[in-house]
Amino acid sequence: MSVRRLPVYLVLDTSGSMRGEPIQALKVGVQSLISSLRQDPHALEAVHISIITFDNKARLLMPLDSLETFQTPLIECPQSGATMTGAALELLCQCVDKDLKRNTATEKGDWRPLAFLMTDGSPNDTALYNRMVEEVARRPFATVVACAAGPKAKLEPLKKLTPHIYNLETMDSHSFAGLFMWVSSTVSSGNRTLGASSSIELPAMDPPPDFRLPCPPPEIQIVV
Amino acid sequence: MSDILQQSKSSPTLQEFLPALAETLSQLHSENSAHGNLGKDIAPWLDESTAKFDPTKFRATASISDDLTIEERKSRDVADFVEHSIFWISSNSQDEPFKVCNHPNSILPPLFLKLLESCSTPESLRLQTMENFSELLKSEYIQNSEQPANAETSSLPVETTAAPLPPTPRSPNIRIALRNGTAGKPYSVEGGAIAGRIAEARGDDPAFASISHLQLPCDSGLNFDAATGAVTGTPTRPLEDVLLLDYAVSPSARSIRFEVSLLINPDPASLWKDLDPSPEAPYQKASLAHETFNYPDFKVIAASRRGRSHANKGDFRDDDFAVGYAEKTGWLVVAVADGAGSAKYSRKGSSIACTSCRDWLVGNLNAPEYQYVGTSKQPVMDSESQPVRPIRDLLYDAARLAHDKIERESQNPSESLPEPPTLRNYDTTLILLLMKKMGDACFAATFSIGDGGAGIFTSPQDAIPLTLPDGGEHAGQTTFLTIPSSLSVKPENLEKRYHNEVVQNFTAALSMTDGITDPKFPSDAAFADSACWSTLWAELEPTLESSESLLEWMNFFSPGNHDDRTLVAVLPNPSPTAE
Repeated sequence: MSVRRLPVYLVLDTSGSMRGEPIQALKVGVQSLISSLRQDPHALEAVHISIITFDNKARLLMPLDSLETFQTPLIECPQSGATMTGAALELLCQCVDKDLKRNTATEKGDWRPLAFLMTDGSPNDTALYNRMVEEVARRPFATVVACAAGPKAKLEPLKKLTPHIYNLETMDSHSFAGLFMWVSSTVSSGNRTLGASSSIELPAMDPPPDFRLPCPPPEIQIVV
Repeated sequence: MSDILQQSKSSPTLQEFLPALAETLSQLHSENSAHGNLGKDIAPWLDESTAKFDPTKFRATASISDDLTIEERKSRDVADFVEHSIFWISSNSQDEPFKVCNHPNSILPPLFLKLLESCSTPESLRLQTMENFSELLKSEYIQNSEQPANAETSSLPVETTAAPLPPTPRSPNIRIALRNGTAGKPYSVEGGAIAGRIAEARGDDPAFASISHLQLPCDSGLNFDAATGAVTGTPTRPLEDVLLLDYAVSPSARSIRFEVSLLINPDPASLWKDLDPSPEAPYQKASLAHETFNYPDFKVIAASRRGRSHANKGDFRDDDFAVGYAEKTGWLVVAVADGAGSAKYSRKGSSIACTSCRDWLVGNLNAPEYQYVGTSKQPVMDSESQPVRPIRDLLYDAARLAHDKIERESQNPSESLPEPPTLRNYDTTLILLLMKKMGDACFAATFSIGDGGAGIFTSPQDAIPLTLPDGGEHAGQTTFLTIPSSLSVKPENLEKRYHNEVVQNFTAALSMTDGITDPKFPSDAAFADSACWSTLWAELEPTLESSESLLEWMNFFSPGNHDDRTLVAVLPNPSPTAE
């Protein structure tokens, strides 16, 4: 019998501006996220992680895999290039459509997925981005969180995507560690809220209860 | 290549290779200095020791670390040196040597490695690879230089990416990670798998490749079998480690050292904490509850326990149950409810739902009109012809009243709460089960809102589900007593929620929250499958001696299923005292 999965999508900006310390800090952050989730018994059984990176194109760096078997991939970034955030969201929607198991007569479905978008710039593919924001809203995400990292990150496009936006002023390892610790507690709490009981009612019946986000660490400035 | 490998008696050392390497290099230097791209790459380290590069005086030494003795340096494996990127050369013994790899963009070290590994004797280096090396160098350099468009598939063990990144000097750009394991679960990596994968990544012949050594932590519970190359065992503890592994292209070749990462997850069962809820919190509820009820017609064994997911966070049990018996008419009332994990006072919602329904139903069913359900031949009550309120409507009324009572609690809480609650703070499911003996037969009726379920056994092998699945599209989605649409009087809603059966051979009836049904009935189809019910019964029956033993059984471990668990089992009373 398969365990009901809680799919978690990390959508990470690897555009040229991330080169150097930011990309290193990001790698360490992702690794620490995985490690800390492994200490959460519910997460260890239920959480499945997928990593999408985007620079001048979006790629599925790691298809959805259980936390138990997950091997952190190499995250690399090119020397320069555009920030195709729209393409990344397009890929995210494709992945969710493909990955997500719904309840059927013979199989229990997944928990509603979580998505985290981290970017240090603004979308270069604005038209696609705007279209994909609508597509993301049509997918059954329990929550979408956006993180604007560094001084060049534009908040306006992210506000269209989600009300949950967090701002990292600097892109050093300390900030990223703080961010990913927080992501971890969010996943754990989502896990608890969703996983502890049959708690989310049918969307058609009522709006779902607000997904309760834990308090962010002090390094992360709440924008909204 | 394999011919050479088989012929060679022992692998050559770096010392033996050096003259051949020196010759190769100096020849390349003179041949290719005209080639612009090559010249640029070689220049930073060749030209620095001046143009007076004299092949006859060429000297190369190598070391991995300074704590190696001279003898060790002599015998150290060539590839190992190059791989570890500290490679010193100078044009004569007086010159200050400098590192080959200190030029960060140099692609030469990986080329050296490839070159040296492809030859097992200095002669073969001279004879075979002069041309190859030159070609290799050219193609590889061009591929990794500013014109990646010209790139051809590389034969090098260097991970080439679309980005024009210079390869790192470390030859094994092969990341090796053993598959993850979990503490307490048997683990194995079959023999040959590791060597095979490295060989594949490097372009070696997997048929000859082998792992001679893999250092596993001694108390890890894992063992490496050098003969087969297999890793087996049951990990004793969590682990996140980088291990060293010695790989050989062929049995006679010098081994190459690789780092390999291994991750052993903690046993999820070991991570659960058992925390008590705060004694100051409103609506206190015991984490465990159990009771046995002996009635004239039925024996009822009930138990409810807080799930691990709640114990881990110090939350309350949200499930509840209530059992009652209408003594004048012989009706048994069983209520089971599961408070929503997302609703902060759902433990109170489930408690109100159960007790309110039980009390109201027992009170009403004690009326003499309910003495007879009907004849044993025509037992099911028909709403049109019965003079009393039909059972279905009675159950609906009970649920409706429970809903109203919860609503009143939310408007006027019986305990002091930090802030005014909403009705949805009390979200709960509800499964009502009514039973009555009718001579040898038994009548059972249910009314359910939300997940969990009930069923009745007509033999240890056969069961009839008494409830329909009430889930949504995604996991955990269901409906609640506190949502108005669940109490809609539309026929399609009532038909879905109400069910009755008359069985001739009553063995047992079960009413359960999803903490039990999720692990025991993995799908909606399974819930309708007698085989699943009979498996459950085989497991459950021995525990029904007492409510304590049932409670103990309900602590079973099932990955991903850590919700509160409540089960009420109704059995025929072996010594009926009244009819």
